[in-house]
Amino acid sequence: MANTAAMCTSFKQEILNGSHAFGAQAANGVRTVTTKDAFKMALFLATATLGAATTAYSSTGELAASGNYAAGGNAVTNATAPTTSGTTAFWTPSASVSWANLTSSGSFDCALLYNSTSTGALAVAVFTFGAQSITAGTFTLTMPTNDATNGLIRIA
Amino acid sequence: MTTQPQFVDGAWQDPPELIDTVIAGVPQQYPVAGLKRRIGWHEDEDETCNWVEYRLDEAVVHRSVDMRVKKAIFADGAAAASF
Repeated sequence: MANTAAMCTSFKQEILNGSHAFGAQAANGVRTVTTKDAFKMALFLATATLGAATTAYSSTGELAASGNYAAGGNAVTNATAPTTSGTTAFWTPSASVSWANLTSSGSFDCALLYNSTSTGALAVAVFTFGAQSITAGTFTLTMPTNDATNGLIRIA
Repeated sequence: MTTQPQFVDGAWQDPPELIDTVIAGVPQQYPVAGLKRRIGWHEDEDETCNWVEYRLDEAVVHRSVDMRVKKAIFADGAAAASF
């Protein structure tokens, strides 16, 4: 088994149910979201099995809470609300996510984006990359350009 | 004063004097000038990865990575065309 990049299937259902607020504007005439949710990214070992079926953050398979890694991962900076271009809606964190002076407990190849405000820490998406080990260093996930072609989360 | 290398404008910049390391299992700061530096990068359709390693007697005592994920997560929404 391995980690597999995917938008979590449960997330697709949850956005239809209004379970996630990436931005603070979602007026529908009955209710208005005035507070957006907070999101986090957590790092997972190459031996983990995250993918489309992941429904929530769990520490199973996560980097050990050692070497300056904290369980649950790091906060995602979200200063830019989702927007659209053409027929595509998209959202991207507004800053890189970075771990400094990190010594990883093993080889990791996956980051889980999840809603840290929600009860149960609902999963959003799984991102994979070439397996990495970090020794007393900085691991930075640099975000793609926030547009309809490259945005981190895109719905068309 | 930073003790971490910085990836700026596509290049790694050494910290000015000391760098965070793990030597023989012990976290410590070490003079960057006393270490051997190697850099590398990897690019494919999914990612662009830049890394820097510092070695002491061939042992990696510091490794940093800048990872740019290129393969964004995409959902193709659809509505029923007819009932």
